[in-house]
Amino acid sequence: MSKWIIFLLLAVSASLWAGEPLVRSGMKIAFFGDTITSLGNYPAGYINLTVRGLEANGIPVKKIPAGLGWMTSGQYVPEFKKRVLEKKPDWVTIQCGRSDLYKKGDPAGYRKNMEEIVSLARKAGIRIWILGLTPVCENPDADANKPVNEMNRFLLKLASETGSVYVDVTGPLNQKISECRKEFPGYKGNFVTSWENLTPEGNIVTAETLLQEFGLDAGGIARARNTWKTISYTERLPVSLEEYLLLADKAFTRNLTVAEYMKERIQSARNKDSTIK
Amino acid sequence: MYVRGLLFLSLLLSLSAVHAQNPEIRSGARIAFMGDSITDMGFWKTGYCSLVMKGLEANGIKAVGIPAGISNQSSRQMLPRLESSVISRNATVMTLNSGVNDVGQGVPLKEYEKNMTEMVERAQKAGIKVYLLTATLIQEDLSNRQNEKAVDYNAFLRRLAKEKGCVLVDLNMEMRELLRILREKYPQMKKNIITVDGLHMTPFGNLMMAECVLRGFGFSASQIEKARVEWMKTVSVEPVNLTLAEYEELSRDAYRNGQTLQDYLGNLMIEKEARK
Repeated sequence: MSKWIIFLLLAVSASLWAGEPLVRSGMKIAFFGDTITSLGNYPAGYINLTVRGLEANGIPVKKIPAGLGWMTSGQYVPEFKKRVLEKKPDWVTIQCGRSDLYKKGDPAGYRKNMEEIVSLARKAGIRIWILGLTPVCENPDADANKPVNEMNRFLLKLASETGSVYVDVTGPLNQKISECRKEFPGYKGNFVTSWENLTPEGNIVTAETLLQEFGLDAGGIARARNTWKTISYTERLPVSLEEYLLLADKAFTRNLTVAEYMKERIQSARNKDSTIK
Repeated sequence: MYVRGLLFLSLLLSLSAVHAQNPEIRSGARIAFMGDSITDMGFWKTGYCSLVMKGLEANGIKAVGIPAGISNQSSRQMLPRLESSVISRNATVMTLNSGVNDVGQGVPLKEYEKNMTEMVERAQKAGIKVYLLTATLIQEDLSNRQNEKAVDYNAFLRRLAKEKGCVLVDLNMEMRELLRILREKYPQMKKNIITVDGLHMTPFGNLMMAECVLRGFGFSASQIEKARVEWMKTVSVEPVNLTLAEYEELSRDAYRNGQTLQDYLGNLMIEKEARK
């Protein structure tokens, strides 16, 4: 008898494992949120990475970027109606709260407005993915991250009460940061910017987490990562005017802009010094 | 006695330096920078407005800069907002730079003349000293149609400055000269030098604009040199385009070296290393 139960369990888990991703070609997915989501639509932002990752797996979807920089909870309902509901998506991801936290907004107002937009999405028959908030800084035990953890507990509860999916973004980010610290003892931080937004590293982790939640397996994530390699990203380097003039002097003699010359310098110096060839 | 003599001499020199400036350029002055996107970006760290303010400070003048540049605007949009952007903000001095969008967006010369004249008159009526800035180049190619068209617009500004007693800051003339010098110095360079995109300034353009404005303010060569010393220390950000694959590999190199990615990349550049 017990053999039969084990067989049944194995069969069920195997069918789940081999199941198709939840996400389907042609779906309309809205990404609603504040600054982090607004920046998420940049080429190396999590929205774009998620959508490109799905494409790489033969699942083209229509993205509805619905992020608004510095949006706080008082704006959630009208912005959600305009940016999400009017576009009639199949799914919506919601990542709201960091701007409220930054601007020290009223927590009760935040919770009320989050409940309101989730309720609106449910009424409209949209599947909801509530993303946890990303950390303020890379030390998970820092005081600055305590309110994030508190808000995430609220979001997890809201998701479970409303039949939404809670996507833990903080956990995977902290995990990656911790791995970096272990592997590279001198690690100085590279997932969260000084403005508390996500770097490309942070966006990659967020996109991978979302893709996993959308049903991609390890092979699917690897295919996504492969397609991300060629996405361009602009790093901004601090350069004094004196340094700029020196760089320009070298660059212009070779018909290069300063940006092109800097890239070339980085590549050639790296080829000499890097441990990765 | 010798020391007192030296002190007296330095006091005299500093007084003469102060008098070399136009009287309205003094501590407490409120300087509005009216213009389009070039002026809007002028308040970025190494933008020309920020450099002007830094240059004033380096020479002991504590003035207040009033940002009044809005992207994509021509004199047509600036005239109706002169009151709110400049006059109501109690400006005592205004630099006015409009022209590239007037030419680019097809504001007729007659209308441009009317708008600019009206802005100057209204500002002067409010007691504001006006500095007229000629329009900078449109693409770094003097013979293109836009630059040829701008000749008449700038000629009008030169006449207007004389008529209304404004100080003329001839950016267009200076930019042409700078371009000639740089093209001679770097004959291999076929891309933009003074502008990023043919319109908005690289540090070369911003330095040129700031220096011209300070000269217009009556700064002497030594005062501008003082400003330049401070300008050279000013740090801005320059873009470097990477692919995500490069970004990830470089990030790991940075971790391995115990540096932030920005520091690591900065240190890879010989020029920066040479300065240490």
